[in-house]
Amino acid sequence: MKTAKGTDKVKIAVIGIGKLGKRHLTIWSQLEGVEIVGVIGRNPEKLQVVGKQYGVQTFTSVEDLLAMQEVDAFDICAPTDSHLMFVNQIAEASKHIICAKPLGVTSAEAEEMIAICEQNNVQLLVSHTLRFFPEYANAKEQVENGAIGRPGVIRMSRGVPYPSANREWYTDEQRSGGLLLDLGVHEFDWIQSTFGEVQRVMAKHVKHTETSGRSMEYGLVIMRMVDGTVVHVELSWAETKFRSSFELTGNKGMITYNHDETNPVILDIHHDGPSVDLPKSMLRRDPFVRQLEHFLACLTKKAEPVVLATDALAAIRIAEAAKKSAAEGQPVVLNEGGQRK
Amino acid sequence: MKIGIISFAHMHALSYAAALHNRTDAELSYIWDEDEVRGKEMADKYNCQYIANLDDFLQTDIEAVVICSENMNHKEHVIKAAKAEKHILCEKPIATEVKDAEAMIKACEEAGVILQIAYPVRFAPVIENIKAMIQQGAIGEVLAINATNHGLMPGGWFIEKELSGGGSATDHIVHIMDVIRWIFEDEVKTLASH
Repeated sequence: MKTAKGTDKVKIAVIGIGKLGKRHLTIWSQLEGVEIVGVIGRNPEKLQVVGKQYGVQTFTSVEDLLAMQEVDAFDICAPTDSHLMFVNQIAEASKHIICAKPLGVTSAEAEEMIAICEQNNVQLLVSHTLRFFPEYANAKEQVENGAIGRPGVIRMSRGVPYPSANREWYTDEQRSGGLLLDLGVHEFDWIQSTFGEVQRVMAKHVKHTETSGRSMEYGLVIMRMVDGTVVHVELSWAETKFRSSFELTGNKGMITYNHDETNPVILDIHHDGPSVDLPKSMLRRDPFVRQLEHFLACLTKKAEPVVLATDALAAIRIAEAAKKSAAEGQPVVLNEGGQRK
Repeated sequence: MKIGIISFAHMHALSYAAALHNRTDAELSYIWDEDEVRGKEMADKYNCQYIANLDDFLQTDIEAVVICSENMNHKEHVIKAAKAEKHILCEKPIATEVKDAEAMIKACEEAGVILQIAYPVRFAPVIENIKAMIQQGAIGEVLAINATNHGLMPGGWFIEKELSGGGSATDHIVHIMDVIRWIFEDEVKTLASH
């Protein structure tokens, strides 16, 4: 790409100083060919700390940053309900966009974002990081190469602890889309990219709060794909620790994956004091690095996006169907087809 | 106690025969099988007598039968055995239609014989322990259950609908639902299926 003024570095601005924003700042600051031109946050004290930590100039709005800095792309790492506003502002300023998943709280929002980016001829790259996990990328490839034959029954599971008090926007359906959207789009995007379109969706969603105040949510989404494949997706905000797994069955065989079995180093200690944090991934280039490297290649026209904004939209449509089904207790039809195999 | 086996169509008949063979308080005395070659082979293997005619078999002094015929034949075999006043252990699923199962239960009640259906999962120590843990409140109120059952492809009559009544769904769902009903002492309210 023709990068802003003079240098051949891609100038990135990060929006958001939460867990994801900091993770992206860390990676951007390590990647070659990138200059972080600013970080945008709302909380001034926290923003100063983050700015200092990464040696990056701080701003409290997109306008302020645009007035002061040349920038090629914004990386939105802010809550889902803020995406539409940011995307509109950035696209109108003709800058490229990287946006956290889910793209929007609703498919209508996502459609609006896609339209405005097309009108302004800017890239809209959505962080469906699951596609950059080698296990999921490889399983998709294996399925496409016929390793399991004709897919039959697919079971996927993803669970995390209930969002903690400092991240409680996740539990506000108006802000995050709730469990079925926020957690579900990981799987829905991967499923649709691997097995094609969904024919119909049936879902159950349980919310529970203990007398102690501890809350949890659990969802089970069952879908039939247009090609007849049946997919179960278990989604949980009721875990004590991160959990993900899948079981892909076809007429020739089965591929299985369980996150718990992938980490070769396990630290188990007795005392309650502060302990060493082991890295979540033992990969030299973890999935987040792989994803941002890919986005960098897209921004510099060296690669075509693996995940299109329309894929992100399709994942939201599946989540919406699941939410509707859970609310109404009836299957929701998305597409024709779904013949028995 | 003398016991007979009706049909070795279901492979579990081998397990029942072996279990009876190893007991001192019960003996496998007679085998009836529609397939004469298989019936004679099994009678030789377990050192008992093959009887080619089912009515003759039911006239013997056996007190109970184990029924391992194809699912579709359970109804006929259970009702015949009940009329001959034999106690019954029948392979699951009890029948391929609810109305057949009801007729079988009624026939056994009228004849005053015990009708049991083979749900060995209830006797697995793992499931016994889980039932106890759930009932003691180990995980609190149960909000959701996600269950599956994996098995090898049995082939043969299991995949012929006219004999089995259905495929893996028929064969496996009854195990899972039986265990869930047994552990939670609760019934299904609504059902959705893909």
